[in-house]
Amino acid sequence: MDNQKIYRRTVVEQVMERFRDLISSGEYKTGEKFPKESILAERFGIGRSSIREAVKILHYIGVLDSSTGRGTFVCDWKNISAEVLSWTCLLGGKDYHELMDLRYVIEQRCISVLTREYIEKTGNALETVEKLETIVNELETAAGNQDKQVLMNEDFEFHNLIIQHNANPVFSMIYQMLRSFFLEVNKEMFVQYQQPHDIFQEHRTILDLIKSGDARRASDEIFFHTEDSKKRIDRILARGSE
Amino acid sequence: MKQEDIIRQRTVVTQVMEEMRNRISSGEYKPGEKIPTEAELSQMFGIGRSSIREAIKIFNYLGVLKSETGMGTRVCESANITTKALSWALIAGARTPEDLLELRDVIERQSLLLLTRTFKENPSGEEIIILELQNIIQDFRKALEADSKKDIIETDYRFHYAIIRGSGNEVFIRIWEALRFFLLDEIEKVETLFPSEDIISEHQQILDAVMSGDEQAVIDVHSGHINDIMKKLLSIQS
Repeated sequence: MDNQKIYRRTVVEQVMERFRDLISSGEYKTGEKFPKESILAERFGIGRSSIREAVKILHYIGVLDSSTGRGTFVCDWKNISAEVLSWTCLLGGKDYHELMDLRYVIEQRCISVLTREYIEKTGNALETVEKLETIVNELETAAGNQDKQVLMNEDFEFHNLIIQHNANPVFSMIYQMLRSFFLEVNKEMFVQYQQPHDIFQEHRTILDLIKSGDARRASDEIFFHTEDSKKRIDRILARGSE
Repeated sequence: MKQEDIIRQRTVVTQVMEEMRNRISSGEYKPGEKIPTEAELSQMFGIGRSSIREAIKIFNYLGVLKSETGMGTRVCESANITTKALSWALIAGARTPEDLLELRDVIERQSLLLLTRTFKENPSGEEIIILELQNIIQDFRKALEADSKKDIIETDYRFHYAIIRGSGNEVFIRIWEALRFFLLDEIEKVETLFPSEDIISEHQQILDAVMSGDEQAVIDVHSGHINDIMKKLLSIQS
């Protein structure tokens, strides 16, 4: 396949993979002390300098913390800096689109779940939909006042509520990370936000579709919104390189 | 090296990285273009070459810069740093099997739909992934004949991994790789307690749906597969 790159993996990359397994298998958990360089070097049969490099990289990303001088500790995911995430916008590339697709599949699932539960009147779907109504009303008011700050906040709240309703902490985590990332990007690129009235209208439409039980069309709306955002960003990136 | 020196040097490297970032952000160093040499950067920033070298190595790993012997160092045209950070976040958090299974579900379903669409529009273009999936189904046969549980588990993992690779979405692929441990564990648990006689037809069904071009069928077959796994996982826990 053309997009499968063939390259010799560097030693450091291989070390990173081993580190990944150590942490993901639960052998070393958040808050716990990571083994000393010398121990890891012996365990992997690799020079200490490669271990040290890998630790430095993970320290920069925010996965490990070796700044206290008392050893190296495994951090919580929240430590992963938004700055690190925002690199993508500086370099363009399809990474940006792919992150938006990730956000989309998560939102799509959460909307389906909420819609189904609302129609079946299970969980606290009724409560969630009531809260969404309140938010949409806020959006309408803010659109009328051309209040961009409120619009941005309520827009986020709308989507966040739908994600939280599904109660999957993994989804919430990814969504939060992506949010920090997209906020950084918008800052860096001075992204023109949509027209205030369109923002309100879009969310009004989505909520109406949820209440009508049409999960399919509700997630189609999100899909179109995502594709529109991609095009807007592409235009800005293209202009930037002229 | 003394502990204090190590900390100080690390801070210097961070400073170098920040400075590089500013220059890329301002457009002074553009994607695709070469950056100054180590020696030049060392002089410009007034910082030792070893710190410059460290920073460049880290950026190489993160996919921000690319150094090639004899060709200097360029700014990359796209970076996979975000996806790396994302997959590390996934690893560093506490999560239940059901939550991770739901993540696998949405990513896999999207990958299947993408594969279905592109195969429909351009059958010969996607042939490689489809052929790979067909080969993997043959591997199931061999694993069953050899009665090797280990091979069955590995083949199952490879089948689904191939689907994700077929999406072409690097973020999906990285997340999948971050979930590797969980996935292997899940497959092993389910296969051990509920050995599947139909493992071949289960996976053949998925492939058939993709090749039929019927997106709803793909969704239905895939949901069935995932719900089955979810039921089994939950029953194991209780």
